Amino acid sequence: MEYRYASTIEEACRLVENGFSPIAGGTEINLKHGAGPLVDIDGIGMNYIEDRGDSIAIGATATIAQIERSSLLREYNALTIAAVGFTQSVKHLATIGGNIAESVASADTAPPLLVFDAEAVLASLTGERIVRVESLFAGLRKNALRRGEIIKEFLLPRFDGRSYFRKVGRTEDDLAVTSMAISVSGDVRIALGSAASVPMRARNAEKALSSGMGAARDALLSETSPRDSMRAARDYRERLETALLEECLREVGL
Amino acid sequence: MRIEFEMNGGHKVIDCDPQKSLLSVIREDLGLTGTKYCCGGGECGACTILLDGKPVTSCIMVAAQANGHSIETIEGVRGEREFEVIKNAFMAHGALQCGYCTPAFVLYAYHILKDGRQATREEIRREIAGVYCRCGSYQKIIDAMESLLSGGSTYAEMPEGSDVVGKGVERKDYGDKIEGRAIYAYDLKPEIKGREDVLYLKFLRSPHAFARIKGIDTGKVKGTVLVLTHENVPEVYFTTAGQSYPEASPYDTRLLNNPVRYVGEPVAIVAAESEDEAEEALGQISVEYEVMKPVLGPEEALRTSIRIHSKGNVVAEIHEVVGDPARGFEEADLVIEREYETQMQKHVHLEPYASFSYWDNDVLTVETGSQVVYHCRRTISRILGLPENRIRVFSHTMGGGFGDRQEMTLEQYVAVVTHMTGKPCFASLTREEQFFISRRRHNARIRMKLGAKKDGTLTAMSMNALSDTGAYGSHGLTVTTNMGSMTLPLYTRHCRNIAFDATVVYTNRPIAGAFRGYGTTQGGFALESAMDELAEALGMDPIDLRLKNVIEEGAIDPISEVLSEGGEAIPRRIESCGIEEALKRGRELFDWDRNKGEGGIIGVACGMKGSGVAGFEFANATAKLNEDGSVTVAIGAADIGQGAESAMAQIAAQASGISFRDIRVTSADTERVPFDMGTYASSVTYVTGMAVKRAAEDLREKVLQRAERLCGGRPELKDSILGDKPLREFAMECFYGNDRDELCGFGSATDITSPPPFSAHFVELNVNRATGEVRIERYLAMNDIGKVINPVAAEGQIHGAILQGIGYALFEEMRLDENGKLINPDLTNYKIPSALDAPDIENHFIETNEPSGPFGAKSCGEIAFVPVAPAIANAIYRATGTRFRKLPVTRERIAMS
Ligand SMILES: Cc1cc2nc3c(=O)[nH]c(=O)nc-3n(C[C@H](O)[C@H](O)[C@H](O)COP(=O)(O)OP(=O)(O)OC[C@H]3O[C@@H](n4cnc5c(N)ncnc54)[C@H](O)[C@@H]3O)c2cc1C
Ligand code: FES
Ligand code: FES
Repeated sequence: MEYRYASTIEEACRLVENGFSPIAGGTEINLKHGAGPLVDIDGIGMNYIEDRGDSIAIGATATIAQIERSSLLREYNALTIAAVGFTQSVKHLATIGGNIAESVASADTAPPLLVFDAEAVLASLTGERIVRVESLFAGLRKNALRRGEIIKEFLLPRFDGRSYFRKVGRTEDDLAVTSMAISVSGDVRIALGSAASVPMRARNAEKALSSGMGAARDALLSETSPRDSMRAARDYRERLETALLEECLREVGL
Repeated sequence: MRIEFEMNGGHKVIDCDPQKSLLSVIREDLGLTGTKYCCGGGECGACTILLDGKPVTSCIMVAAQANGHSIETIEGVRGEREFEVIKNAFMAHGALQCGYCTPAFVLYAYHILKDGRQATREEIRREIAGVYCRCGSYQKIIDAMESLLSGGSTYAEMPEGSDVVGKGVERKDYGDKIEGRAIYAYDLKPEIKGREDVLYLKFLRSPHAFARIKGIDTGKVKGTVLVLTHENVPEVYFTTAGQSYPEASPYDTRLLNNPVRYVGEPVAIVAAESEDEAEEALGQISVEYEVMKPVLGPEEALRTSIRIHSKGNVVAEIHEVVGDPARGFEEADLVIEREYETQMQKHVHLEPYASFSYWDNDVLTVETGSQVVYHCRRTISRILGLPENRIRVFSHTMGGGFGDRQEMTLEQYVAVVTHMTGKPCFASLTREEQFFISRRRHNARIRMKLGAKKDGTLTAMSMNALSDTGAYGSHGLTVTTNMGSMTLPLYTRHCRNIAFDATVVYTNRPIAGAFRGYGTTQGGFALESAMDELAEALGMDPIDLRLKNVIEEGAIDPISEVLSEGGEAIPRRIESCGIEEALKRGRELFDWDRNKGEGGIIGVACGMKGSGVAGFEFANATAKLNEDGSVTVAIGAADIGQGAESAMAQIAAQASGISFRDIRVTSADTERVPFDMGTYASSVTYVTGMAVKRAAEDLREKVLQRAERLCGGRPELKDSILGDKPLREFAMECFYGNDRDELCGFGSATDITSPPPFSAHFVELNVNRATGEVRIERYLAMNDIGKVINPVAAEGQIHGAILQGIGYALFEEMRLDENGKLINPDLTNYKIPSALDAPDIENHFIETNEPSGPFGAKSCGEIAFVPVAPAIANAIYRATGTRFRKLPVTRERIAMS
């Protein structure tokens, strides 16, 4: 099976244009049978975390372990907590780009990126475009990248409020049965994992908060649609959503 | 594709499929077997390597990802300066058992040390949570890491000489395991790579839970491939259960069966010259099935007219009565009746099965990882019609067993292929195959009825169990017998009215078998939960209720007078009994009364088990003096990671006066060691240990007699010094002096009464009622295992049993869909406890002296599993007000209650 190494973004984009799939850490794609030809994007140098003044940029191939330890991300508590709680055995391989590009509901970095209103810089042979991370999730394991596009980096706008992340699995090292991130700086933002087919912002709940907990809870339950699976039943996931809402609000002092 | 990387200080260039798993490259192409395979899914961490210094799971990396990078494996790290301190710390803390996970943990330790960061205990716990240890060594690994990071001495004082029973000597297997040198059966595959004569086996598994095979078409199979089906395997019925003869399990299976009776049952076996070829051939076989309606639950098995086996669905029934239960219940002031249910649990020893067979001249040799090499040999002899002296079965180091290796899983298949073809044959299972094909814990529905006086005195007990043995009857009767016979005697101080009824049924579910606890886990959950419910109904403290009723030293176990494990009943007198003290001291240490007064979320439960199978065990040992004064002890039992070989060496040293370091134990090889029933029923320390003690005493006596004959008076023999001379001089004289004599001690032991070890466990929880999360804040385990031969190794066993018990209590469960197919056959979906799920356990031994055991020892391997689930469920009740009578008590069930 074909395997190439890209040393520039251009090279990667050209191969992706020609039907190659990017491989970053490989923790998702290597478990799929018949992944097809792969282009390794590890050598492009996209594994940075840097201060850009009005935002922090996280390169797409930055690993979860890097995020966990980055001092630049200290203000982004929700993201750091998510990185700490990520399965230890794959932390040094798994990248944030792969986590988002895979577009699964339980992706742990997604709810934090959503509450920080992060943007993704997408690169292709025709140039770059910037989209909100939220718009990248097209459906379960389906992202909204155009043909020939890869994620280059994520931009997290300056943040100096409080934030928190919480996930509940079946055990302490499980994937999320339900996860939630919350941020407060002026406005309150709430995002969830495993509450719909893809990670989501809970905008109705955010709005309803001003009318009290009961209203927020109702709004949350009506905008989420968690699934029934072997790992957890829908009604349990709904129970978790409201439990996490209360807990997360408490943690950020609301 | 050409791939280049640095490895362990050298430069490697390989040419392979770029998308081949990096783990396969490391193990099979480069032959570095210290990196292990376990799950292939990135979950367990056994395959951890350091990639540019960082720990990663190599099984989910492809070879091409290594290009241009640097890799370190245990084979490289063991040459580094830091390695010595890590090794010492692991040894001093006893941070391993079977050792299968150990190279991976060593790499984590190395990474953390190199990193140079300080870390708290909880940070260490999270760091090392990238690797699973099914033997439950997390706590000791964290202890070792803490001592490493604090820079303190990592050396433990190691006792010298022969006076070693009761001391935490360094286990003899530690070094090889920590260095990644121990060879497990699974490592034979890389070892035999390149040999062209070897055949590899693959299994075609049934997609149906119950189906008659109408035809198998192998016409399209290409190449030189042998295909075995029910049509061409020997017409011999046997049981895969490794039990003493005649087995208490029915002879209800052939090598391949028609009909097939569970999803995953092998329908055909392909033997080909490579695994790929075998795999490909599987796809070329077409099978025509007549699908039948499966029986998927034990209740249904009783009701239905469908017969899973021609003799019907009932494998065995037990109806035993002591005294007059009806009258007992009449005399009670209060009677409670409750029903409990337990689930199918998987062993998940980290090393999956592998077996290798070949002709060694005219001896059919099977290299494997079996707890029961002699039973294995007998059954293979029966299947093949080959005399036992032409079959050799021996075990390599085993990556955990927990009962699963008391079964024949692959040995019979490789043996028959070698027998038919004359060629060597290798088979190994992937984690998924392991989930489908190997054994699991019997699930059971148990009705308990307890009657008591107002003051808590029990007047009658009855237990009624329905136990599901799955598609074949392996261990069905005996496991189920233990549900009652090994649990109810605990509360017979006053109660002499007992009824125990049980039915064991077949279902079209995966085959059940032996699993740590062997029935007492199921029975114990029902009994200990019911005791808690009774205490509440009586308004009594649950410890007081237990203290009122627990059995005492000198008592005759009333159930032993009517029931045994498949043989004649043998009354047993309880000669050593620490349960009362365990409860009383535990109550104090736990500050139970104050804690309860303050509304603590606490629970307690007790347990008992046996030491071997009464009336059935038979172990033999030899202790042979070598020319240089060292001693080789040979035992037929196997070391499955618990440290049996070292415990045997301790016993031999103490009994003979020969230093521990001069004794080596060799085990589990039908060609080289004397007969033993095997490693099960926690029998090794107690039964085999007694045989070793006698062999060592016999050797000592022979040495002393000879010395007396030669020099007059009888000298002392201690610490390998005979009189005032090293034993070595005396030994040389035996072989090369004028009056030549080879000195070999022989010892034999049986098990008359299977003396019970006891446990009382106390747990304090924090339950998040909204999410269902349970955090174990404190776990206190009080255990009476008789005299403790090696406190460090024994504590490792206690930790491991408790951890598996925590999984059993809270989340482990094999789940089937409506067609009987297992839906969680991997470690992503079948979770086992990680370091993050493991509390620190406070363990205390209540030492008693069991007169029938070696130096007073009883058994240790299983007892600590028994009280875990009920203690936790009892505490969860205090938090939630809901009685969970069904295991596991998952987060989901707690939150939704
Ligand atoms: C044992 C195990 C435990 C796990 N635990 C967790 C967990 O706790 N939390 C969690 O969220 N996830 C978890 N995962 C899932 C997985 O590790 C993560 O989703 C990870 O972040 C994926 O990153 P990667 O670099 O390995 O992706 P890859 O496998 O390399 O790629 C994943 C997908 O994204 C595409 N892709 C990668 N990078 C880019 C890019 N820059 N631009 C465009 N497309 C790209 C690939 O083509 C592929 O389709 C776990 C997985 C395993 C196997
Ligand atoms: S994580 Fe690689 S074998 Fe389990
Ligand atoms: S010692 Fe860790 S799995 Fe056995």
